[in-house]
Amino acid sequence: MKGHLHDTELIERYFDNALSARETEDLKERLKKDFEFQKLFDQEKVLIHSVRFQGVKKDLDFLKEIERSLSEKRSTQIKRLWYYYAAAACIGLIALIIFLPGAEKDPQALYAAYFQPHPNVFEPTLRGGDPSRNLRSRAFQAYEGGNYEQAAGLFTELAKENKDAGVLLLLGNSNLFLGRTVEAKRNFTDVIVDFDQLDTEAKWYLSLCHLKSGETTEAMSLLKEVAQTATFYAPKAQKLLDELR
Amino acid sequence: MTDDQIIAQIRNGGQSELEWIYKAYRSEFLHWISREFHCSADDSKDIYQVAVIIFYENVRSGKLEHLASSLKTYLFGIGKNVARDQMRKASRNTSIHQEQWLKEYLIDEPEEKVDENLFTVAKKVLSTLGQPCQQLIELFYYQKRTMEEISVQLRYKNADTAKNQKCKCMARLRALFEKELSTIPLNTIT
Repeated sequence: MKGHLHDTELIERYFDNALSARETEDLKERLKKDFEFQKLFDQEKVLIHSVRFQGVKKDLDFLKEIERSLSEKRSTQIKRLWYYYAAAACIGLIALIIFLPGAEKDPQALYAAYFQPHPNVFEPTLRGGDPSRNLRSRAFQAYEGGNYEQAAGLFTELAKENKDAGVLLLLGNSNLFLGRTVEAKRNFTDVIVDFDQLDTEAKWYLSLCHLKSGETTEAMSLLKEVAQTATFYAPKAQKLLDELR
Repeated sequence: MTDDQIIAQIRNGGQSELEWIYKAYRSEFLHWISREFHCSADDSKDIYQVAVIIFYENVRSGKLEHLASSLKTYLFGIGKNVARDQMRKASRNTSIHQEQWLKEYLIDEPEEKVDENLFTVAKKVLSTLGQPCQQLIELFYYQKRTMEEISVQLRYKNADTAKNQKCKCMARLRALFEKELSTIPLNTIT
């Protein structure tokens, strides 16, 4: 049983590209001689193949859905061409109402329309204050001044010394503003996982990170959670959800 | 945006990039393939969908990192190969079987074949695996996300936690697979 587990682990590491060149060579040699090992190997291969196939199938279904909507649109256009000409004025008006808001359905455009850096409500700063003041003051001052590159650096330093939810939230905002979505996602996730405060705020901004990355499903899942809270973000989340739908 | 930037964005992105690519070259491709290979409108669309998926898979798997030609040339080249292969394999009147085509394309070593019976069982047990396991292993094995990226997306503590979770999910999938195999008569499995 132990040998079986060891073999399974070895094969899994092979498919994860986690074996050394020597280990890979040994595995290939053993595959030629050991029937049971070969059987385990083939089973793992077929499982991974089915996982990849499921992913491909989802993408293919997604393209078919796009094609269906494009074809339907085109077919309707052809069938009702006469009608469009006759009612050009009305259609123009309807197009203004329907298609202009629809144009914002692009996740990037929606992100741009909804993202506003969170205000600094955590640390009072003095305009034109002494720049030699401590790291914390300088970080918040840079953030308030819109110098997000500098703020991100200082907040990162600050988070190394003492992690607090406010610092991480503003660090995430700075990273998101600078287009560093992977770092921003990590910052907001840390707020959600490690702290009991600022959860809704972090989820709102994390949903915007997903939106910026084109991960609409993940964004919508978070927005649904935010929309159900009794907070300032709830109506905004609901409105964004409606636009995404 | 340059073609290389588009490739970088696809590697880090999701279905919105897939949609963008599909729409960007659709009309031109359909017109070209139907003229070049005398395909029906439906067959042209099927070939285009397969070509876009293969392009996408090549980017994500790292097979395609930089384009020697333009994105359009590359995409049309894939389409041409798919259409030629289809004509070679079947009569011209037979439509392309997209799923079969993609299933064969996903095999890393072309000379190897996937056991159909085992594959059917694997697909069945995968659908019963449940979430987040299904999503996690799809992110890793299909979308080729790193453990770091997966930990952020699925909100695990860190990359190590995501990796442990992935191993547990695969162990669960294997157990389901073996259980299902034990219920099938031996002579139906090669």
